[in-house]
Amino acid sequence: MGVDGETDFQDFVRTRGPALSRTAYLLTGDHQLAEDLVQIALSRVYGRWSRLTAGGDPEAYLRRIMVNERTSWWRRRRYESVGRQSLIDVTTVADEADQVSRRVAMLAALDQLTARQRAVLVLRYFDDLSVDQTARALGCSAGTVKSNTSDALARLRTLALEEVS
Amino acid sequence: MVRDLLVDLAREVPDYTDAGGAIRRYRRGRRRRLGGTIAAVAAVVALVAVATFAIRPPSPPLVLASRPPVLTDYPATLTAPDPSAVLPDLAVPNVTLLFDGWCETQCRTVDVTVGVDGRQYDGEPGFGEMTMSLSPDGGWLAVQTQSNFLIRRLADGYQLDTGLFSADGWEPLVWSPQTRYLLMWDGGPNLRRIDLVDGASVSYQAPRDKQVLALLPDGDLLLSGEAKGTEPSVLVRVDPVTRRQHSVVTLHSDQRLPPYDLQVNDDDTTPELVDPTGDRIAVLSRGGMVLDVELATGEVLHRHALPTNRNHAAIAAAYLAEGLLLAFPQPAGASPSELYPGASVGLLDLESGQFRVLTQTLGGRALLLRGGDGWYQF
Repeated sequence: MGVDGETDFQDFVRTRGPALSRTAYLLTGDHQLAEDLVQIALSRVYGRWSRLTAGGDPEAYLRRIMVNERTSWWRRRRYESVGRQSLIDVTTVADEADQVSRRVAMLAALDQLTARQRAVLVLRYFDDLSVDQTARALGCSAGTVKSNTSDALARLRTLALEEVS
Repeated sequence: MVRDLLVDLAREVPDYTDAGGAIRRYRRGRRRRLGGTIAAVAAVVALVAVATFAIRPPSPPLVLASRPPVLTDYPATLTAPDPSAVLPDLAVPNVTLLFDGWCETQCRTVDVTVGVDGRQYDGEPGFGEMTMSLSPDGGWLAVQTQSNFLIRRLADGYQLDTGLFSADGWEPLVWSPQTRYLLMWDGGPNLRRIDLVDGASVSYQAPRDKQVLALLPDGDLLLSGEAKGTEPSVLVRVDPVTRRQHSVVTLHSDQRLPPYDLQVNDDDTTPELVDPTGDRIAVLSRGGMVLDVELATGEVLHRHALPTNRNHAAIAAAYLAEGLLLAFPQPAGASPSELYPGASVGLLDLESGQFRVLTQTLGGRALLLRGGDGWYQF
Protein backbone atom coordinates (compact mmCIF):
# COMPACT_ATOMS: atom_id res chain seq x y z
CA MET A 1 0.00 0.00 0.00
CA GLY A 2 1.26 3.45 -0.84
CA VAL A 3 1.66 6.45 1.41
CA ASP A 4 -1.63 7.88 0.21
CA GLY A 5 -3.47 4.70 1.08
CA GLU A 6 -1.94 4.56 4.52
CA THR A 7 -2.80 8.19 5.17
CA ASP A 8 -6.31 7.57 3.95
CA PHE A 9 -6.63 4.60 6.30
CA GLN A 10 -5.37 6.64 9.24
CA ASP A 11 -7.85 9.41 8.43
CA PHE A 12 -10.64 6.87 8.34
CA VAL A 13 -9.66 5.48 11.73
CA ARG A 14 -9.37 8.96 13.21
CA THR A 15 -12.81 9.92 11.91
CA ARG A 16 -14.73 6.74 12.55
CA GLY A 17 -12.77 5.31 15.47
CA PRO A 18 -15.04 6.56 18.27
CA ALA A 19 -18.18 5.25 16.59
CA LEU A 20 -16.57 1.92 15.78
CA SER A 21 -15.35 1.65 19.37
CA ARG A 22 -18.85 2.17 20.71
CA THR A 23 -20.25 -0.46 18.39
CA ALA A 24 -17.49 -2.87 19.41
CA TYR A 25 -18.27 -2.30 23.06
CA LEU A 26 -21.97 -2.90 22.58
CA LEU A 27 -21.23 -6.07 20.65
CA THR A 28 -18.98 -7.44 23.39
CA GLY A 29 -20.02 -5.75 26.63
CA ASP A 30 -16.40 -5.71 27.67
CA HIS A 31 -13.81 -2.97 27.22
CA GLN A 32 -10.84 -5.27 26.64
CA LEU A 33 -12.71 -7.45 24.18
CA ALA A 34 -14.03 -4.38 22.41
CA GLU A 35 -10.52 -3.01 21.95
CA ASP A 36 -9.34 -6.36 20.64
CA LEU A 37 -12.32 -6.64 18.34
CA VAL A 38 -11.97 -3.26 16.71
CA GLN A 39 -8.20 -3.58 16.31
CA ILE A 40 -8.50 -7.03 14.70
CA ALA A 41 -11.08 -5.72 12.30
CA LEU A 42 -8.96 -2.69 11.41
CA SER A 43 -5.86 -4.79 10.76
CA ARG A 44 -7.84 -7.01 8.41
CA VAL A 45 -9.36 -4.07 6.63
CA TYR A 46 -5.98 -2.40 6.25
CA GLY A 47 -4.70 -5.36 4.25
CA ARG A 48 -7.42 -4.79 1.69
CA TRP A 49 -7.78 -1.06 1.99
CA SER A 50 -7.14 -0.11 -1.60
CA ARG A 51 -9.61 -2.68 -2.91
CA LEU A 52 -12.24 -1.74 -0.35
CA THR A 53 -12.04 1.98 -0.96
CA ALA A 54 -12.15 1.41 -4.71
CA GLY A 55 -15.04 -0.97 -4.58
CA GLY A 56 -17.37 0.37 -1.98
CA ASP A 57 -17.83 1.13 1.65
CA PRO A 58 -14.98 -0.02 3.89
CA GLU A 59 -16.96 0.71 7.02
CA ALA A 60 -19.66 -1.76 6.06
CA TYR A 61 -17.01 -4.41 5.48
CA LEU A 62 -15.33 -3.56 8.76
CA ARG A 63 -18.62 -3.77 10.60
CA ARG A 64 -19.25 -7.18 9.11
CA ILE A 65 -15.83 -8.39 10.21
CA MET A 66 -16.55 -7.17 13.73
CA VAL A 67 -19.90 -8.93 13.84
CA ASN A 68 -18.52 -12.15 12.41
CA GLU A 69 -15.52 -12.11 14.69
CA ARG A 70 -17.69 -11.45 17.70
CA THR A 71 -20.08 -14.21 16.70
CA SER A 72 -17.14 -16.51 16.29
CA TRP A 73 -15.84 -15.62 19.76
CA TRP A 74 -19.25 -16.23 21.19
CA ARG A 75 -19.44 -19.63 19.60
CA ARG A 76 -15.95 -20.56 20.72
CA ARG A 77 -16.58 -19.27 24.19
CA ARG A 78 -20.13 -20.35 24.56
CA TYR A 79 -19.44 -20.96 28.19
CA GLU A 80 -17.89 -17.61 28.94
CA SER A 81 -20.63 -16.91 31.42
CA VAL A 82 -19.06 -19.59 33.59
CA GLY A 83 -16.94 -17.47 35.88
CA ARG A 84 -17.11 -14.39 33.74
CA GLN A 85 -18.57 -11.38 35.41
CA SER A 86 -21.70 -10.16 33.81
CA LEU A 87 -21.99 -6.59 32.63
CA ILE A 88 -23.37 -5.61 35.98
CA ASP A 89 -23.92 -7.71 39.04
CA VAL A 90 -27.64 -7.53 39.53
CA THR A 91 -27.49 -8.45 43.20
CA THR A 92 -25.37 -5.45 44.10
CA VAL A 93 -28.08 -3.07 43.10
CA ALA A 94 -31.12 -5.01 44.15
CA ASP A 95 -32.07 -2.42 46.74
CA GLU A 96 -31.86 0.58 44.51
CA ALA A 97 -34.77 2.29 42.90
CA ASP A 98 -37.06 0.36 40.60
CA GLN A 99 -36.05 2.34 37.59
CA VAL A 100 -32.41 1.51 38.09
CA SER A 101 -33.25 -2.10 38.75
CA ARG A 102 -35.16 -2.34 35.52
CA ARG A 103 -32.26 -0.88 33.61
CA VAL A 104 -29.83 -3.24 35.28
CA ALA A 105 -32.13 -6.14 34.49
CA MET A 106 -32.16 -5.07 30.87
CA LEU A 107 -28.38 -4.94 30.81
CA ALA A 108 -28.10 -8.39 32.33
CA ALA A 109 -30.64 -9.68 29.84
CA LEU A 110 -28.73 -8.11 26.97
CA ASP A 111 -25.67 -10.01 28.09
CA GLN A 112 -27.54 -13.28 27.78
CA LEU A 113 -28.57 -12.87 24.16
CA THR A 114 -26.75 -14.79 21.50
CA ALA A 115 -24.08 -12.91 19.62
CA ARG A 116 -26.27 -12.71 16.54
CA GLN A 117 -29.28 -11.43 18.45
CA ARG A 118 -27.16 -8.84 20.19
CA ALA A 119 -25.61 -7.77 16.90
CA VAL A 120 -29.01 -7.26 15.33
CA LEU A 121 -30.09 -4.98 18.13
CA VAL A 122 -26.83 -3.00 18.11
CA LEU A 123 -26.81 -2.49 14.37
CA ARG A 124 -30.46 -1.58 14.10
CA TYR A 125 -31.05 0.43 17.26
CA PHE A 126 -27.64 1.93 17.95
CA ASP A 127 -25.99 2.25 14.55
CA ASP A 128 -29.38 3.03 13.04
CA LEU A 129 -28.86 0.76 10.07
CA SER A 130 -31.84 -0.10 7.93
CA VAL A 131 -33.03 -3.67 7.65
CA ASP A 132 -31.22 -4.06 4.34
CA GLN A 133 -28.01 -2.54 5.66
CA THR A 134 -28.17 -4.79 8.70
CA ALA A 135 -28.74 -7.76 6.44
CA ARG A 136 -25.62 -6.89 4.44
CA ALA A 137 -23.59 -6.46 7.62
CA LEU A 138 -24.75 -9.81 8.93
CA GLY A 139 -24.63 -11.64 5.63
CA CYS A 140 -28.23 -12.75 5.77
CA SER A 141 -31.56 -11.88 4.26
CA ALA A 142 -33.73 -8.94 5.24
CA GLY A 143 -36.37 -11.40 6.39
CA THR A 144 -33.89 -13.01 8.74
CA VAL A 145 -32.98 -9.62 10.16
CA LYS A 146 -36.63 -8.97 10.88
CA SER A 147 -37.18 -12.32 12.51
CA ASN A 148 -33.91 -12.05 14.46
CA THR A 149 -34.92 -8.62 15.66
CA SER A 150 -38.29 -9.87 16.74
CA ASP A 151 -36.76 -12.87 18.50
CA ALA A 152 -34.11 -10.74 20.17
CA LEU A 153 -36.63 -8.24 21.49
CA ALA A 154 -38.91 -11.00 22.73
CA ARG A 155 -36.07 -12.77 24.43
CA LEU A 156 -34.78 -9.55 25.91
CA ARG A 157 -38.22 -8.88 27.33
CA THR A 158 -38.48 -12.35 28.83
CA LEU A 159 -35.00 -12.29 30.28
CA ALA A 160 -35.46 -8.83 31.71
CA LEU A 161 -38.68 -9.91 33.43
CA GLU A 162 -36.89 -12.92 34.88
CA GLU A 163 -34.10 -10.69 36.17
CA VAL A 164 -36.56 -8.33 37.79
CA SER A 165 -38.53 -11.13 39.41
CA MET B 1 -36.20 1.56 25.50
CA VAL B 2 -33.62 -0.60 23.73
CA ARG B 3 -32.21 2.36 21.85
CA ASP B 4 -31.97 4.39 25.06
CA LEU B 5 -30.30 1.50 26.80
CA LEU B 6 -27.68 1.09 24.08
CA VAL B 7 -26.97 4.80 23.84
CA ASP B 8 -26.63 4.98 27.58
CA LEU B 9 -24.30 1.99 27.63
CA ALA B 10 -22.03 3.42 24.96
CA ARG B 11 -21.87 6.93 26.37
CA GLU B 12 -18.61 6.53 28.28
CA VAL B 13 -16.84 4.27 25.82
CA PRO B 14 -13.41 5.63 24.89
CA ASP B 15 -11.90 5.46 21.43
CA TYR B 16 -10.05 2.15 21.33
CA THR B 17 -8.79 2.48 17.82
CA ASP B 18 -5.12 2.81 16.98
CA ALA B 19 -4.42 3.02 13.27
CA GLY B 20 -0.67 2.54 13.76
CA GLY B 21 -1.29 -0.50 15.91
CA ALA B 22 -3.59 -2.01 13.32
CA ILE B 23 -1.01 -1.46 10.59
CA ARG B 24 1.75 -2.98 12.70
CA ARG B 25 -0.47 -5.91 13.50
CA TYR B 26 -1.15 -6.50 9.81
CA ARG B 27 2.56 -6.31 8.97
CA ARG B 28 3.51 -8.68 11.74
CA GLY B 29 1.05 -11.15 10.28
CA ARG B 30 2.62 -10.80 6.86
CA ARG B 31 6.11 -11.40 8.21
CA ARG B 32 4.92 -14.45 10.05
CA ARG B 33 3.30 -15.71 6.91
CA LEU B 34 6.43 -15.30 4.88
CA GLY B 35 8.81 -16.62 7.47
CA GLY B 36 7.86 -18.68 10.44
CA THR B 37 4.64 -20.09 9.16
CA ILE B 38 6.37 -22.86 7.25
CA ALA B 39 7.60 -24.41 10.44
CA ALA B 40 4.29 -23.84 12.14
CA VAL B 41 2.35 -25.45 9.35
CA ALA B 42 4.78 -28.37 9.31
CA ALA B 43 4.08 -28.87 12.97
CA VAL B 44 0.36 -28.63 12.37
CA VAL B 45 0.55 -31.09 9.53
CA ALA B 46 2.54 -33.57 11.54
CA LEU B 47 0.31 -33.23 14.52
CA VAL B 48 -2.92 -33.54 12.63
CA ALA B 49 -1.50 -36.43 10.69
CA VAL B 50 -1.24 -38.19 14.00
CA ALA B 51 -4.86 -37.41 14.65
CA THR B 52 -5.85 -38.39 11.14
CA PHE B 53 -4.31 -41.80 11.34
CA ALA B 54 -5.28 -42.40 14.89
CA ILE B 55 -8.98 -41.66 14.59
CA ARG B 56 -9.65 -44.05 11.72
CA PRO B 57 -13.42 -44.19 11.63
CA PRO B 58 -14.94 -47.22 9.96
CA SER B 59 -16.92 -44.83 7.78
CA PRO B 60 -16.89 -42.44 5.97
CA PRO B 61 -13.82 -43.24 3.89
CA LEU B 62 -10.78 -41.11 4.50
CA VAL B 63 -9.68 -38.84 1.70
CA LEU B 64 -6.02 -39.69 1.76
CA ALA B 65 -3.41 -39.91 -0.94
CA SER B 66 -1.65 -43.20 -1.49
CA ARG B 67 1.55 -41.81 -0.04
CA PRO B 68 1.54 -41.82 3.76
CA PRO B 69 1.98 -38.54 5.61
CA VAL B 70 5.50 -37.40 6.17
CA LEU B 71 5.84 -37.20 9.89
CA THR B 72 8.36 -34.76 11.21
CA ASP B 73 9.96 -35.07 14.59
CA TYR B 74 6.96 -33.41 16.16
CA PRO B 75 5.77 -36.36 18.24
CA ALA B 76 9.24 -36.59 19.70
CA THR B 77 8.89 -33.14 21.16
CA LEU B 78 5.78 -34.02 23.07
CA THR B 79 5.99 -34.17 26.79
CA ALA B 80 3.35 -35.82 28.85
CA PRO B 81 2.12 -34.54 32.19
CA ASP B 82 2.65 -38.03 33.53
CA PRO B 83 6.36 -38.88 33.13
CA SER B 84 5.59 -42.54 32.74
CA ALA B 85 3.19 -41.90 29.92
CA VAL B 86 4.41 -42.57 26.45
CA LEU B 87 2.67 -41.21 23.42
CA PRO B 88 0.81 -44.19 22.02
CA ASP B 89 1.39 -45.30 18.51
CA LEU B 90 -0.87 -44.46 15.63
CA ALA B 91 -3.23 -47.32 16.28
CA VAL B 92 -4.80 -45.48 19.19
CA PRO B 93 -8.42 -45.01 18.26
CA ASN B 94 -9.34 -41.61 19.57
CA VAL B 95 -7.25 -38.51 19.42
CA THR B 96 -8.29 -34.93 19.87
CA LEU B 97 -6.12 -32.16 18.62
CA LEU B 98 -5.94 -29.20 20.92
CA PHE B 99 -4.11 -25.98 21.15
CA ASP B 100 -3.86 -23.46 23.88
CA GLY B 101 -6.52 -20.89 23.70
CA TRP B 102 -6.61 -17.64 25.53
CA CYS B 103 -4.59 -15.64 23.10
CA GLU B 104 -6.98 -14.72 20.39
CA THR B 105 -5.46 -11.31 19.99
CA GLN B 106 -2.18 -11.18 21.86
CA CYS B 107 -0.19 -14.36 21.63
CA ARG B 108 1.98 -15.07 18.65
CA THR B 109 2.40 -18.79 19.14
CA VAL B 110 0.45 -21.16 21.27
CA ASP B 111 1.06 -24.51 22.84
CA VAL B 112 -0.13 -27.63 21.15
CA THR B 113 -1.60 -30.57 22.93
CA VAL B 114 -2.66 -33.97 21.74
CA GLY B 115 -5.24 -35.63 23.89
CA VAL B 116 -5.23 -39.39 23.61
CA ASP B 117 -7.88 -41.38 25.41
CA GLY B 118 -8.06 -39.03 28.31
CA ARG B 119 -4.33 -38.28 28.56
CA GLN B 120 -2.77 -35.12 27.29
CA TYR B 121 0.57 -34.63 25.66
CA ASP B 122 1.97 -31.16 25.34
CA GLY B 123 4.09 -30.02 22.46
CA GLU B 124 6.37 -27.14 21.68
CA PRO B 125 4.77 -23.84 20.68
CA GLY B 126 3.94 -24.05 17.06
CA PHE B 127 0.76 -22.47 15.93
CA GLY B 128 0.61 -18.90 14.86
CA GLU B 129 -2.46 -16.87 15.38
CA MET B 130 -4.77 -18.67 13.02
CA THR B 131 -8.28 -19.90 12.73
CA MET B 132 -8.40 -23.53 11.84
CA SER B 133 -10.90 -26.19 11.07
CA LEU B 134 -10.42 -29.94 10.69
CA SER B 135 -12.47 -31.80 8.10
CA PRO B 136 -14.94 -34.52 9.12
CA ASP B 137 -12.61 -37.23 7.81
CA GLY B 138 -9.62 -35.65 9.51
CA GLY B 139 -7.81 -35.44 6.20
CA TRP B 140 -7.91 -31.71 5.51
CA LEU B 141 -7.08 -28.66 7.55
CA ALA B 142 -8.47 -25.23 6.77
CA VAL B 143 -6.26 -22.41 7.97
CA GLN B 144 -7.12 -18.75 7.90
CA THR B 145 -4.08 -16.63 7.24
CA GLN B 146 -3.93 -12.87 7.11
CA SER B 147 -4.84 -13.05 3.44
CA ASN B 148 -6.91 -16.07 2.47
CA PHE B 149 -8.25 -19.32 3.73
CA LEU B 150 -5.96 -22.15 2.70
CA ILE B 151 -7.18 -25.73 2.61
CA ARG B 152 -4.41 -28.23 3.09
CA ARG B 153 -4.60 -31.95 2.45
CA LEU B 154 -2.60 -33.48 5.23
CA ALA B 155 -1.60 -36.65 3.48
CA ASP B 156 0.54 -35.05 0.81
CA GLY B 157 0.63 -31.35 1.56
CA TYR B 158 -1.50 -30.39 -1.45
CA GLN B 159 -2.81 -26.91 -0.79
CA LEU B 160 -5.82 -25.15 -2.18
CA ASP B 161 -6.03 -21.40 -1.90
CA THR B 162 -9.72 -20.58 -1.70
CA GLY B 163 -9.07 -16.97 -2.64
CA LEU B 164 -11.51 -16.11 0.11
CA PHE B 165 -10.45 -13.89 2.91
CA SER B 166 -13.09 -14.57 5.44
CA ALA B 167 -16.12 -16.67 6.02
CA ASP B 168 -19.66 -16.17 7.05
CA GLY B 169 -20.96 -16.28 10.57
CA TRP B 170 -20.37 -19.97 10.12
CA GLU B 171 -16.80 -19.19 10.74
CA PRO B 172 -14.63 -20.33 9.29
CA LEU B 173 -16.60 -22.64 7.01
CA VAL B 174 -18.82 -25.64 6.67
CA TRP B 175 -17.65 -29.03 5.45
CA SER B 176 -19.90 -31.48 3.68
CA PRO B 177 -20.19 -34.69 5.69
CA GLN B 178 -17.80 -36.71 3.56
CA THR B 179 -15.34 -33.86 3.07
CA ARG B 180 -15.99 -33.41 -0.61
CA TYR B 181 -17.18 -29.80 -0.44
CA LEU B 182 -16.73 -26.62 1.55
CA LEU B 183 -19.13 -23.74 1.90
CA MET B 184 -17.76 -20.29 2.63
CA TRP B 185 -18.72 -16.66 2.42
CA ASP B 186 -17.22 -14.92 -0.60
CA GLY B 187 -16.97 -11.51 1.03
CA GLY B 188 -20.05 -10.25 -0.77
CA PRO B 189 -23.65 -11.35 -0.83
CA ASN B 190 -22.91 -14.90 -1.93
CA LEU B 191 -21.82 -18.16 -0.48
CA ARG B 192 -19.16 -20.08 -2.36
CA ARG B 193 -19.14 -23.86 -2.61
CA ILE B 194 -15.71 -25.32 -3.27
CA ASP B 195 -15.13 -28.81 -4.61
CA LEU B 196 -12.05 -30.24 -2.95
CA VAL B 197 -11.55 -32.80 -5.70
CA ASP B 198 -10.99 -30.38 -8.55
CA GLY B 199 -10.96 -27.01 -6.82
CA ALA B 200 -14.00 -25.83 -8.75
CA SER B 201 -16.16 -23.28 -7.01
CA VAL B 202 -19.68 -22.03 -7.53
CA SER B 203 -21.33 -18.97 -6.05
CA TYR B 204 -24.79 -19.12 -4.64
CA GLN B 205 -27.11 -16.56 -3.12
CA ALA B 206 -30.06 -17.87 -1.22
CA PRO B 207 -33.50 -16.42 -1.98
CA ARG B 208 -34.39 -13.54 0.29
CA ASP B 209 -36.88 -15.57 2.27
CA LYS B 210 -34.59 -18.56 2.78
CA GLN B 211 -31.54 -19.46 4.82
CA VAL B 212 -28.95 -22.05 3.97
CA LEU B 213 -29.37 -24.67 6.62
CA ALA B 214 -26.80 -27.31 5.68
CA LEU B 215 -24.39 -28.59 3.05
CA LEU B 216 -25.21 -32.13 1.98
CA PRO B 217 -22.74 -34.84 0.93
CA ASP B 218 -23.48 -34.46 -2.80
CA GLY B 219 -23.00 -30.70 -2.67
CA ASP B 220 -26.65 -29.79 -2.58
CA LEU B 221 -27.73 -27.11 -0.15
CA LEU B 222 -30.55 -27.49 2.30
CA LEU B 223 -32.55 -24.30 2.67
CA SER B 224 -35.24 -23.44 5.12
CA GLY B 225 -37.84 -20.75 5.30
CA GLU B 226 -39.13 -19.12 8.38
CA ALA B 227 -41.78 -21.01 10.34
CA LYS B 228 -43.83 -19.33 13.01
CA GLY B 229 -45.86 -20.96 15.71
CA THR B 230 -47.54 -24.09 14.47
CA GLU B 231 -46.54 -23.56 10.86
CA PRO B 232 -44.59 -26.47 9.42
CA SER B 233 -40.90 -26.00 8.69
CA VAL B 234 -40.25 -26.48 5.00
CA LEU B 235 -36.79 -27.67 4.04
CA VAL B 236 -35.80 -27.35 0.39
CA ARG B 237 -32.94 -29.16 -1.29
CA VAL B 238 -31.23 -27.13 -4.04
CA ASP B 239 -28.37 -27.73 -6.46
CA PRO B 240 -26.30 -24.52 -6.26
CA VAL B 241 -24.98 -25.01 -9.81
CA THR B 242 -28.27 -25.37 -11.65
CA ARG B 243 -30.39 -23.69 -8.96
CA ARG B 244 -32.76 -26.59 -9.41
CA GLN B 245 -34.89 -27.57 -6.49
CA HIS B 246 -34.67 -31.30 -5.90
CA SER B 247 -37.08 -31.98 -3.11
CA VAL B 248 -39.07 -30.45 -0.34
CA VAL B 249 -39.35 -31.86 3.15
CA THR B 250 -41.92 -30.73 5.65
CA LEU B 251 -41.20 -30.91 9.32
CA HIS B 252 -44.53 -30.60 11.07
CA SER B 253 -44.97 -28.57 14.17
CA ASP B 254 -45.99 -31.53 16.31
CA GLN B 255 -42.50 -32.90 15.69
CA ARG B 256 -40.67 -29.80 16.73
CA LEU B 257 -42.71 -27.69 19.10
CA PRO B 258 -42.65 -28.07 22.91
CA PRO B 259 -41.64 -30.10 24.78
CA TYR B 260 -38.81 -30.33 22.26
CA ASP B 261 -38.75 -26.60 21.58
CA LEU B 262 -37.13 -27.13 18.23
CA GLN B 263 -36.60 -23.99 16.27
CA VAL B 264 -35.24 -24.95 12.88
CA ASN B 265 -32.63 -22.43 11.84
CA ASP B 266 -33.02 -20.65 15.14
CA ASP B 267 -29.43 -19.44 14.98
CA ASP B 268 -28.37 -18.98 11.40
CA THR B 269 -24.72 -18.85 12.39
CA THR B 270 -24.93 -22.53 13.26
CA PRO B 271 -25.55 -24.95 10.44
CA GLU B 272 -27.41 -28.13 11.16
CA LEU B 273 -25.30 -31.27 11.22
CA VAL B 274 -25.72 -33.80 8.43
CA ASP B 275 -24.90 -37.48 8.78
CA PRO B 276 -22.33 -39.02 6.39
CA THR B 277 -25.01 -40.49 4.14
CA GLY B 278 -26.94 -37.27 3.85
CA ASP B 279 -30.10 -39.04 4.93
CA ARG B 280 -30.43 -37.40 8.33
CA ILE B 281 -29.78 -34.11 10.04
CA ALA B 282 -29.23 -33.52 13.71
CA VAL B 283 -31.01 -30.41 14.90
CA LEU B 284 -30.21 -28.95 18.28
CA SER B 285 -33.07 -27.44 20.19
CA ARG B 286 -33.06 -24.63 22.71
CA GLY B 287 -34.05 -27.04 25.40
CA GLY B 288 -30.79 -28.96 25.21
CA MET B 289 -32.26 -31.69 23.06
CA VAL B 290 -30.98 -33.13 19.82
CA LEU B 291 -33.46 -34.38 17.25
CA ASP B 292 -32.34 -36.86 14.62
CA VAL B 293 -34.46 -36.03 11.57
CA GLU B 294 -34.88 -38.19 8.49
CA LEU B 295 -34.62 -35.89 5.49
CA ALA B 296 -36.73 -37.98 3.14
CA THR B 297 -39.80 -37.83 5.33
CA GLY B 298 -39.20 -35.12 7.91
CA GLU B 299 -39.80 -37.70 10.62
CA VAL B 300 -37.98 -37.28 13.91
CA LEU B 301 -36.30 -40.64 14.42
CA HIS B 302 -34.63 -40.06 17.76
CA ARG B 303 -34.75 -37.49 20.52
CA HIS B 304 -32.09 -37.28 23.18
CA ALA B 305 -31.05 -34.85 25.86
CA LEU B 306 -27.57 -33.53 25.36
CA PRO B 307 -25.01 -34.00 28.13
CA THR B 308 -24.90 -30.88 30.20
CA ASN B 309 -22.99 -29.23 32.95
CA ARG B 310 -23.99 -26.11 34.83
CA ASN B 311 -27.04 -25.87 32.62
CA HIS B 312 -24.92 -25.56 29.51
CA ALA B 313 -25.66 -28.06 26.79
CA ALA B 314 -22.90 -29.55 24.74
CA ILE B 315 -21.49 -28.12 21.55
CA ALA B 316 -22.05 -30.50 18.66
CA ALA B 317 -19.22 -30.38 16.15
CA ALA B 318 -20.14 -33.05 13.64
CA TYR B 319 -22.48 -35.91 12.86
CA LEU B 320 -19.99 -38.70 12.29
CA ALA B 321 -20.64 -42.31 11.43
CA GLU B 322 -19.75 -43.17 15.03
CA GLY B 323 -22.23 -40.69 16.44
CA LEU B 324 -22.56 -37.04 17.26
CA LEU B 325 -19.19 -35.55 18.22
CA LEU B 326 -19.78 -33.38 21.29
CA ALA B 327 -17.85 -31.25 23.70
CA PHE B 328 -19.10 -29.77 26.95
CA PRO B 329 -17.62 -28.28 30.12
CA GLN B 330 -16.25 -30.53 32.78
CA PRO B 331 -17.86 -30.41 36.19
CA ALA B 332 -16.67 -27.69 38.51
CA GLY B 333 -13.49 -28.50 40.34
CA ALA B 334 -12.34 -31.13 37.90
CA SER B 335 -9.68 -28.88 36.43
CA PRO B 336 -7.14 -26.41 37.80
CA SER B 337 -9.07 -23.36 36.80
CA GLU B 338 -12.52 -22.49 37.99
CA LEU B 339 -12.82 -19.83 35.34
CA TYR B 340 -12.11 -22.17 32.49
CA PRO B 341 -13.20 -25.57 33.61
CA GLY B 342 -12.07 -27.59 30.63
CA ALA B 343 -14.14 -29.88 28.51
CA SER B 344 -15.17 -33.43 27.95
CA VAL B 345 -15.19 -34.62 24.38
CA GLY B 346 -17.16 -37.64 23.32
CA LEU B 347 -19.63 -39.34 21.03
CA LEU B 348 -23.38 -39.50 21.47
CA ASP B 349 -24.86 -42.62 19.91
CA LEU B 350 -28.07 -41.34 18.37
CA GLU B 351 -29.62 -44.81 18.30
CA SER B 352 -29.23 -45.50 22.00
CA GLY B 353 -28.63 -42.07 23.48
CA GLN B 354 -25.48 -43.33 25.19
CA PHE B 355 -22.63 -40.84 25.54
CA ARG B 356 -19.04 -42.08 25.53
CA VAL B 357 -16.23 -39.81 26.67
CA LEU B 358 -13.21 -39.81 24.38
CA THR B 359 -10.99 -37.36 26.15
CA GLN B 360 -11.00 -34.56 28.67
CA THR B 361 -9.15 -31.30 28.38
CA LEU B 362 -7.69 -28.78 30.76
CA GLY B 363 -9.27 -25.39 31.13
CA GLY B 364 -8.25 -22.75 28.66
CA ARG B 365 -7.58 -25.25 25.93
CA ALA B 366 -9.09 -24.93 22.52
CA LEU B 367 -10.30 -27.96 20.68
CA LEU B 368 -10.10 -28.72 17.03
CA LEU B 369 -12.74 -31.35 16.45
CA ARG B 370 -13.34 -33.28 13.29
CA GLY B 371 -16.01 -31.61 11.20
CA GLY B 372 -16.29 -28.56 13.41
CA ASP B 373 -16.70 -25.23 11.70
CA GLY B 374 -13.87 -23.73 13.70
CA TRP B 375 -12.23 -24.35 16.99
CA TYR B 376 -13.91 -24.46 20.35
CA GLN B 377 -12.88 -23.06 23.64
CA PHE B 378 -13.90 -23.80 27.19
